[in-house]
Amino acid sequence: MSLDDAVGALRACTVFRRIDDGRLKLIALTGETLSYRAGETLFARGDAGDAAYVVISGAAEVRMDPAAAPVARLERGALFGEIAALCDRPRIAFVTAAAPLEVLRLDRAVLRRLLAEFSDLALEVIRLMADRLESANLKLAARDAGGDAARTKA
Amino acid sequence: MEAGFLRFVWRHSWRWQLSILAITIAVFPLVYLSLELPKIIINDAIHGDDGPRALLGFEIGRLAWLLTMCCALLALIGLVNALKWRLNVTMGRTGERMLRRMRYMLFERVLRFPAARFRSARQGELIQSMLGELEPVGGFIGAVIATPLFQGGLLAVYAGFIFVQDWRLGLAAVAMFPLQGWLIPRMQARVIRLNRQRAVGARDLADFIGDSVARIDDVIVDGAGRWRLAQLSARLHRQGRIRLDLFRRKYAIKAVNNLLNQLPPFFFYAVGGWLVIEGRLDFGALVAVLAAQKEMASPWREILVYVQNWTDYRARFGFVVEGFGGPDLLPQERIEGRPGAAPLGGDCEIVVLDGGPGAGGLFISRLILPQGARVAVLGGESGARAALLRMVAGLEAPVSGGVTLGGVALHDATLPQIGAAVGHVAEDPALSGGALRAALAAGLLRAPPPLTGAAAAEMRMEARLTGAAEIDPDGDWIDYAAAGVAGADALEARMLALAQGAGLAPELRALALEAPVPADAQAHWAPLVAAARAALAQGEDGSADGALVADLIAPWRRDAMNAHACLLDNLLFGAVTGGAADGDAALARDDIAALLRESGADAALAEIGEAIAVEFAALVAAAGRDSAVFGDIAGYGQAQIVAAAEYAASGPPGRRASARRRFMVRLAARFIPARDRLAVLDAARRARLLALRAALRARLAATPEFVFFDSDAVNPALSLFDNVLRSPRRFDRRGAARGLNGAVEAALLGAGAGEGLLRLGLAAPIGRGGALLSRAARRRAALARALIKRPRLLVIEAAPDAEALAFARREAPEATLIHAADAATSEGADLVVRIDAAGLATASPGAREQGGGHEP
Repeated sequence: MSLDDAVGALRACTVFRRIDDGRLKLIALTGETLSYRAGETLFARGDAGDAAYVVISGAAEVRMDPAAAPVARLERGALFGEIAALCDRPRIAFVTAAAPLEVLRLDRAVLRRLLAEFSDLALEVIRLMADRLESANLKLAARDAGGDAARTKA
Repeated sequence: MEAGFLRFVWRHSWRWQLSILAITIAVFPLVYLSLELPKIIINDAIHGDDGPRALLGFEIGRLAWLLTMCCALLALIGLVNALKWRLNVTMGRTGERMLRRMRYMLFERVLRFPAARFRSARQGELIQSMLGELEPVGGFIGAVIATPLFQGGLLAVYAGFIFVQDWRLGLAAVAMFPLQGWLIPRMQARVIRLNRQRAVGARDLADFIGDSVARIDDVIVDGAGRWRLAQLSARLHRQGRIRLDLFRRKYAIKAVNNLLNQLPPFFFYAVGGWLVIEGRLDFGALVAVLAAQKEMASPWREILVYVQNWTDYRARFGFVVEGFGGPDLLPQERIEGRPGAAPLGGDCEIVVLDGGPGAGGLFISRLILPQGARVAVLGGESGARAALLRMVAGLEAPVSGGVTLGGVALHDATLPQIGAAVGHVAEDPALSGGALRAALAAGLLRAPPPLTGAAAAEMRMEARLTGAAEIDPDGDWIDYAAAGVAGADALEARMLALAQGAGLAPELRALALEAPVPADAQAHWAPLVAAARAALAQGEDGSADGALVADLIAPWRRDAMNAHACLLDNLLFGAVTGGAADGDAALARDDIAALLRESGADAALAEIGEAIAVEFAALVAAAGRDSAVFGDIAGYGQAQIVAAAEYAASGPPGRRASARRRFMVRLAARFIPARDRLAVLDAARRARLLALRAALRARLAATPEFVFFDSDAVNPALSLFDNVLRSPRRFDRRGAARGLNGAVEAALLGAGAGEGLLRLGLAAPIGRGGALLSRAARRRAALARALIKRPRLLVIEAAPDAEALAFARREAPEATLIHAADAATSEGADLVVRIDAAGLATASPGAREQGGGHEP
């Protein structure tokens, strides 16, 4: 549970890659290191988006329904929960620990202050969001194209 | 309260005014003597002949005469000042007593306002006029006789003295008075008008600030912060302009007055000098006249100020009293009750009631609620229903028509009558008293205890002298008979039964867990806490609760560091019980601080503190000392982090080494390894801390108010919850800690602490107005508060559920129960009142057909 573990995980996270070690340590210190046992829930759909998380060790799984198969697996360096935290939105998925899990929890207010203060971090978050938006657009476009093709055939 | 200012002052303070008068009169001859003596000293003792003087039959030499006269002058000055002190104290006390009387009377009048008046009453204005505006009036009343008499008398003495020396100088001294007396009050008139404008502005300002705070919800959701600021700014601007105008005029008056006061000396030097040269006036007399003339300026100024104040304060008094008066004011017995008046009860009758503005159009031609009926009110959500229920409770007055209870109109009933007969549960009730026990008893505070005991004698006398009630504010006010119980113990049992019946038990237990264990209940709690601890400890092997708790806390072990506790706790392996449970409380204790110094623990902590400071210095170097992010670091403030960094950057300790050492000890003392995660605790430092812990144990065992973490004693500085756990919660498991409270509560219940928890919950703080409870819990508490006084009429504004209704009916079987209802809860009611969209209320018998409700 040392600060260095948290700093290592932040360094493995793309959003934090341009931040120097000194500031990474500060970011790790403003967060809390939390541990979960396998199967424990970090948050459920509909919960308030009060924090963002970075996986330090172990793995977490994302589900749209607690009984359904996971839609994503998060491992060391993965950032999650940041959209709900930044946009004041409720959680849209369930996240549970898939194995003994250690995460760095960054409170919403802290996250916002970090973005306001460290512009290179804000830029990286924007880049991450833009990437996700683009891939979502591509997926939608592909689905529309598939649908059009199906209708044409019919 | 008498409207005439002078009549009011004279009627309530004539005794004190007479004693002020007596002291004032006693001062004058002494003042005259204090002018006469210097003349004797100069003319006789200094300039006179060398021959002996006769004093009380003895002959004394010239030097002895001089010394005697000087000593007499000194004694005289002392005496005059002692009398002036006495005079000022009497005046001050008179002013304070009159101020107290005025405020008491005005607040009493507020309690006698009819309900309708509170619709238009502006809270801020009432407060400002009762406090700010009256404040100077009190001081003025103290001086109302003394000032004109004393200052006028002084003026007369000085002027008389000058006339006695030479009538021409006397004329010169008073030559300017007629001009000043004519001119200054004219200049004053405008100042008084401005003062009144300022008072009106101050009331408005007070009301605006009060309104902004009271309606902060609207300010937030309307985003009206800037608008409010602009409104405030405009008011401040207006006030500022009035003040500026006031200053200009006041200082102009002062300048003119000063100028006119400076003219007489011109005559004195010219005419007086000429008379001395001519030999018609002796030199000592001229010096004394000059001194007397100089003394005249001050009383003259005071008299002019008095004249202005008289006009100003008399008007202000009338202005304030007017705001608290009016023909609609209810009689005084409204508060104290009519002797021999029968308690209210019987059928509640509503006749031709028109709710008026803000009542959702409420109109009722005639409605009778028979005693004991349950009346459900449906519809009227736009405001008519709430208005009807508040009118039935006597909280609001209709524009026309009225509500009677057993033939007595509610608006005519006295507060003791209403308090005994009517129970009311508001939509969003506030709970007073700080704890549930006090909040539940709030409806029973109707047996004023007399002020008794020697300590109360002064309070009683002051109350009598200022027209206040001679009642003990802190005594036992509870009317046990009203609750149908014999005494305090029976009342507590009744409270517990009602709180449980109202479904408040979970809230009481939750409050109890967070409450500190009272020092006088240690013996009761120690075995229960021990049993709960044992149950949780056993559970580590078996029960789910025990396993849950074991997973979420970090138990103390005597031979190991606890990463989830601060280093000071780790070092002491215990905590002080007195004062706050704050981590630094132990460091603030001299005996423990000395122990740390002597044992070398101080040095060990300071060394770790230095290591932490080096880490902080690196952070400050990376982000800059002004970074707001430092404010987000748990346990340490930005200022502390920056100061630590500065120490670290300044190199090894040099000057101010002891201050630096203290700082570093505090820095390390609050360091929590699992929370702060900085790598400052290597194996050697941990071993050293553990060795110190062992060395300190024997000494700490002898320290008063100190409890070890592995002791079975209960620590009154900690909450019950923390006492049961006796271990810090794990920082890394905070994300999974939801079930912890439930587990601790279950362990205490298992140990047999059920009733104890409820009792502790009754005494636990509930926040201002009950803010620590949910609105639903506050409503249930308000229902219990209403039921405890066994009302004849119970009004419930928010639609209660079936369970609450059954409970209310069970606890108050004979009361008329009128409540807001929905379709489900109106079933089984004796009478159903339906309010249509236009606000017209009509009644029909309920489904049970037992009620007596009817409408002509």
